[in-house]
Amino acid sequence: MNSILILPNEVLDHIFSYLITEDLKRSKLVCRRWYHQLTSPRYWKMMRLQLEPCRLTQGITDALVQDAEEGKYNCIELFDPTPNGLPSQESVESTVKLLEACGFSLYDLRLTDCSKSTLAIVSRTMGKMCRLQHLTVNSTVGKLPEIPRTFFESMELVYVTHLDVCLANEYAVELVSVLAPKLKYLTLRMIFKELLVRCLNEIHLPALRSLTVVNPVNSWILNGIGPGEFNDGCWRTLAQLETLRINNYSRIGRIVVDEMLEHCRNVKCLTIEHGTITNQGIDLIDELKGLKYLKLILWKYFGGEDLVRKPVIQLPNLEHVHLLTAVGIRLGEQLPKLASVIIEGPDTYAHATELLSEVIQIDGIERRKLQKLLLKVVTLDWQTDAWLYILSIEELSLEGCRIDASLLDVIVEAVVHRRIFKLVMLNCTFFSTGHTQLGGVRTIAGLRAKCPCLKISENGTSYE
Amino acid sequence: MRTIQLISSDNEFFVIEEHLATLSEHIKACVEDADADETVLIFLPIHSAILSKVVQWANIHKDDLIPILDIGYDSDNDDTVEKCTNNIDPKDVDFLKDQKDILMDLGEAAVVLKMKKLTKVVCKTVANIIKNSKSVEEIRDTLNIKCDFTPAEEEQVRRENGFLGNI
Repeated sequence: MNSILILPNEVLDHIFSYLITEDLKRSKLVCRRWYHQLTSPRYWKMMRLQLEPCRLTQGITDALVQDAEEGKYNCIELFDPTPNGLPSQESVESTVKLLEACGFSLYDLRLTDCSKSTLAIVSRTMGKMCRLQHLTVNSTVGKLPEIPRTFFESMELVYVTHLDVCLANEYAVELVSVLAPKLKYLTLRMIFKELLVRCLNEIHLPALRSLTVVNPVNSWILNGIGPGEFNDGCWRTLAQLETLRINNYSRIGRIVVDEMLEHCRNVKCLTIEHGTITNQGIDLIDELKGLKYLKLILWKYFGGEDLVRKPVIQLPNLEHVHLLTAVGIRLGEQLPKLASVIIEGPDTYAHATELLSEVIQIDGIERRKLQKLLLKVVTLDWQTDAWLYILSIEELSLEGCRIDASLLDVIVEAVVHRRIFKLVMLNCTFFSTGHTQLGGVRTIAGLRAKCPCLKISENGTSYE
Repeated sequence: MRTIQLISSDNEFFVIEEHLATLSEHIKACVEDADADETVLIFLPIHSAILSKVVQWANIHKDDLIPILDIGYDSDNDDTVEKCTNNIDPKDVDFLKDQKDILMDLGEAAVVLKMKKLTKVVCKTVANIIKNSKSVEEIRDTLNIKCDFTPAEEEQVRRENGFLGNI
């Protein structure tokens, strides 16, 4: 099949016009051209409308309504800069008119710091939004909005599959429970511990595929969620998940994380950021055989009784892994599909070098699928050059790394004779240790002279 | 009787019926100035393998040409934003089912010939492929696109995409 890239931009735009935000987000990740096309101002101006209902006047509305009726807006964000102010009659009428005009083409509705009256207006027009799929309700200021009853009642009229809530009160639970039967993607931000427990324990979420929990608030006051607080209801939900992301959950007890990992047997994408985990937890991750994407950025790693033993991951389907070297996890030999690796420093632990050597090969088995390697804040000394001999590697990025200047020769070798076609160096520092066996390229300029076609970004790169 | 002949990039001739020309703005424009009994030759930068499929597609739609003519096939009316992609004509679905390999070539040909209807059908089909793909990799595989992001850039885009980024 000929690549879709033979088609001109106008045709791509035509194709994208049929897609909803979630598809477009995914499309942005496909390749550079699509990314640039989808992020061009021309495109998003057409797609997304941000409004402050209290400032809507008759004049603005009339200008927008026509576009809205043609279906130009499939994403609307409403926010009230002063949530407690009373809207004027004119602004209420204008908002209703505009939302009704957009109704049919609207896929994505974001309500940020909306006042009670704005939410009431939205509920009145909800019946028209028959294609609404994404709903975001955010409270970014300290004061929590009051959600009118009519808003919850109007939820019956829409088929929302993606819900993103940032509300630190009962309303979060109520909103999830109203939409529960259809929800596929759920994001809970800044949610209180008790509310999170209630959400997951008491609400049956039969269709849920993806769960994201971000920063449970007041964790610095209350103790974290302890063992035994989640029950079978939560485990049932976790069992059907394909994506689980927990961010900054430092106070969800680490034993509970183990419990959670034990129950999400079907997960394909797992992210634990700024959290803690036990040795047993990592063993549990190793049993998630369907896992494709793994990201572990941890504050603390508890080895438990056997701190000496470094846990090894062996996952047959793993394609992408992103690890903080300080965590001390090792990459095993059974990672046949591994295609992309990110290793992140700080490498005050000698573990980075060890991890890097494991990326290349272990017990003589090369990682044949590995195409992309990104190293952040890692020291590369003369001994760690072996990773450049991975035959399949195509893209190499070094960010904030300290690199032995002698390695530049090896990099040139890899670029000239092997498959690396893209090299990115950002904020790297080169140091010299007196390895003079290879006289050759010693500077980036030399590297560039040898491989003129190479793309090198060397912003902030310096020499010691 | 006016005859219209399309000549492919590899010099194959396709004789088409005059009313098929209405499906393509490009052909329509070429034919417009010709005399009633003239033979119009149109050279196209399209390979015969693709052009034959385009002609075949036009023939499938021979019968629904009349209503299109009636409303005076208006390209401006056709540009209204539409989101629905599961309303592709069953005839087109059948036709494209066997043409997966040349879908993009058909799209390209439709652009060259300015065939709004065919372009639309191809676009909808591609949109459906993207919609039904479970992952970014699947989109790349099906549409034969090589990923040219570095892991850092990809990660950056994922971050931009927010928390549902890498589904």
